Amino acid sequence: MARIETLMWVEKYRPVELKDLVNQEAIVERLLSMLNSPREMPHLLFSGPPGTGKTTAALCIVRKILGESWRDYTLELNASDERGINIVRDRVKTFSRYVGIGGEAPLRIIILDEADEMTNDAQTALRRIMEESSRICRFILVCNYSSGIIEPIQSRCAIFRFLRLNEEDVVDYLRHICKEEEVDFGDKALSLIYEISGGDLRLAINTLQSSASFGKVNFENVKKTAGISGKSEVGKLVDLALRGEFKQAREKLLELMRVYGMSERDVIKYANEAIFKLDLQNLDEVAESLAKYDYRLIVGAQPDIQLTAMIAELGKIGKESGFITKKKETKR
Amino acid sequence: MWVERYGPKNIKDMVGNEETRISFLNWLKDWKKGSKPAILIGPPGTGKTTLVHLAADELGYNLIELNASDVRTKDKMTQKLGPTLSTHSLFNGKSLIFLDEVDGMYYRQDRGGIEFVQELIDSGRVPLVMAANIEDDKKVIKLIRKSKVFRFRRVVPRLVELYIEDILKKDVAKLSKESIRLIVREAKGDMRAAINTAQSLAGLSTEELSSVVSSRNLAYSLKESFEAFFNADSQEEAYKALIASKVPPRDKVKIAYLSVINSGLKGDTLIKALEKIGEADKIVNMIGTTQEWRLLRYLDRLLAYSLFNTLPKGSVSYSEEDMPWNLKVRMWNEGKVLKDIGGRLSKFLHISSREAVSIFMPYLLVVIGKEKKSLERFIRLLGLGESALKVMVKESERVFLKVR
Ligand SMILES: Nc1ncnc2c1ncn2[C@@H]1O[C@H](COP(=O)(O)OP(=O)(O)OP(=O)(O)O)[C@@H](O)[C@H]1O
Ligand SMILES: Nc1ncnc2c1ncn2[C@@H]1O[C@H](COP(=O)(O)OP(=O)(O)OP(=O)(O)O)[C@@H](O)[C@H]1O
Ligand SMILES: [Mg+2]
Ligand SMILES: [Mg+2]
Repeated sequence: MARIETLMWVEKYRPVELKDLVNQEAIVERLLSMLNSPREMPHLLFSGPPGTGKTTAALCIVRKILGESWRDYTLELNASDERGINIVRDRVKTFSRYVGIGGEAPLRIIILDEADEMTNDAQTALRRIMEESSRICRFILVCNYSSGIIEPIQSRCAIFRFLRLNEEDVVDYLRHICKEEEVDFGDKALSLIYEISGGDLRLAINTLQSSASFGKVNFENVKKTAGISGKSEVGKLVDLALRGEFKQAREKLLELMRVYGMSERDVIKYANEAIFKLDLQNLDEVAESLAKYDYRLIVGAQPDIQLTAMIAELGKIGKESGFITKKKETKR
Repeated sequence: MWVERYGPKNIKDMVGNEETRISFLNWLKDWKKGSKPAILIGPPGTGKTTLVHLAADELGYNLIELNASDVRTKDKMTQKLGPTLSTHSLFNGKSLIFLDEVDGMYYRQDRGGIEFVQELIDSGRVPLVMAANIEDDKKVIKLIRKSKVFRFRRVVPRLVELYIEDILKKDVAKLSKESIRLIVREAKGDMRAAINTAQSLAGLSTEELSSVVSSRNLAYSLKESFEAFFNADSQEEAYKALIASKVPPRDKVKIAYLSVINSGLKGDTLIKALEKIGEADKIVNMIGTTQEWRLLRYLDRLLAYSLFNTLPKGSVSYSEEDMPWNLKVRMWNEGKVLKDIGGRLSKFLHISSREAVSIFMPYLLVVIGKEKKSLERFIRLLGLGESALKVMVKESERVFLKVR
């Protein structure tokens, strides 16, 4: 364990050149052609599902334009940690205006990761900054949903939509890593990893490495790791809620949010994923219910209250759909 | 809008900055070709724009205005002001050019605009008046050098108060002394803000009003009024009890929520109560963002009636407990440390620190393995200390329990 950067395979195998990105050929081609004259390049907006190479692409670009000392000319901010207007007015604005001495770098670059988590105010404040600093500074905005980005900002960017990775590409990539790391693997296990990951290569590689740490990547070891992430904790929360275990479900919620700092948006996102994998009859009701609470969170309602109310409502839905009895049967 | 309906119709009607007003009027009266332009500088809502308009009226000037909402490039400005400036002016009367919000001119959007203003200043053919909020802006400093400056200060509280009281009289509206004082204090010398707030509050009843403005004095009887609320015999009684609790609306909803949560309710009653509270919470937040304080009157009724009809009498008692004790302890101890760890990790992993802890960390722990030595080494690499190690060891145990 010499360096943290190489401890985790997701970092170790993060491509450093655009051409090494898996399955995003069209995007890579467009980007490379723009990189011929970086100063002409517009601001960029990357959107797409998790673990498909958005942040990676941003980092590749930065390296390509700024070379080895890219860190000195790059500001990387993650909006889900700092989402308000102040971060824009202070750090972003200052950085975007600061002209370095000597001018050894052609541009400064600001990567705003998870930009769809930024408040509207913050995004609004960004508008003029993006224009006023465009002589010396480029923005790369990264997000899951471009709908979370206000239109005036979208209109100031070239938009790139990253595609979900398919099974073949993910499995090939995992196989490649296994060979590099000299670990034993089974093809069935790799397929299972893909299924668990849903095309999220970060999750896939993490699952691969955890399984490998038990010896080899086989079906059994992959299964072992399936329940460890925060995502599956939300799955447990959903399960408790549907079974009407209100008190326990709420405690799980508070634990995830207050102890582990999971954001309310993540809770509802993963709850969404977990619940639609279940075989419930009244999925339309479920969808309506989740949408209602998600909307309330967006307009700034108190997360604790809203998610608790959601848990209670899921209890009712679970009862009506016969979730409890079905669960018992499968257990037997 | 009150600011328009009850705004000053006469320079004499304006309050505050009296000397500035008089000297500005004199400047305009004495203006002759080649005089310096005027620049009015001061905080928002103190009457800069108002003064210029009223002065022009009083002295019979035809006012041509450009402000920040106009594109102020050289071309656009020439287009708009050209006729006035040409020697063969089509206007019979005399004209005054007013460039409002000059601090809002932008080099890029308003290309050539600044230069155009400079030329305008130098020509001195018609009276030119400018206004701005700030004076430490580069563009404004340049303009100040060439102009006669009129400074506006915030209007003093006593005068704001008098003006508001006067408006209330005209509108046959009522506000308590205390509310007026609060409005005045919050406005900080901005007349426009004071008038706007007064208007937005004038529709509320005194009880409702106090709940909006008195966020400071958390009532001593909070507990009592909520107990009375949960034990009410009629809807009306419940409503009155709720109104009597002098807390901001957001907290009201929160306390109703915590009380319900901690009372051991079950089944449909619990679901329904939470649904109503959730609805009320949404409304509070929408009111907050839209500033439509009038809607607050529905909030108390919604909460009071819906909860009265849902909760059996006496089934809920007052509580402020927001999480079980064991979780609280974990939040204070582990939560803080985990946040630190997340902050460090996010730098290496290019993900948010929240995600680093809540989603990513379990995989990391499995990869590092159960051995305490490895964990120690890792924590040192992160540049963290003993308390971080303790938490990581605990988390590691938790994760390995899940591996089966
Ligand atoms: N297209 C890809 N080609 C190669 N590796 C990839 C690709 N996409 C993701 N990866 C791998 O997954 C890891 C995470 O990718 P990245 O950080 O780019 O995801 P992202 O699209 O930004 O996801 P998120 O929306 O969750 O932030 C990378 O370190 C890399 O190892
Ligand atoms: N001195 C004053 N006396 C009475 N009413 C005032 C005064 N100043 C402002 N107001 C009220 O506030 C409204 C807005 O004032 P005005 O547009 O003159 O402000 P301003 O100083 O130009 O502010 P800004 O710099 O934000 O443009 C007026 O229509 C009037 O109702
Ligand atoms: Mg990313
Ligand atoms: Mg004005």
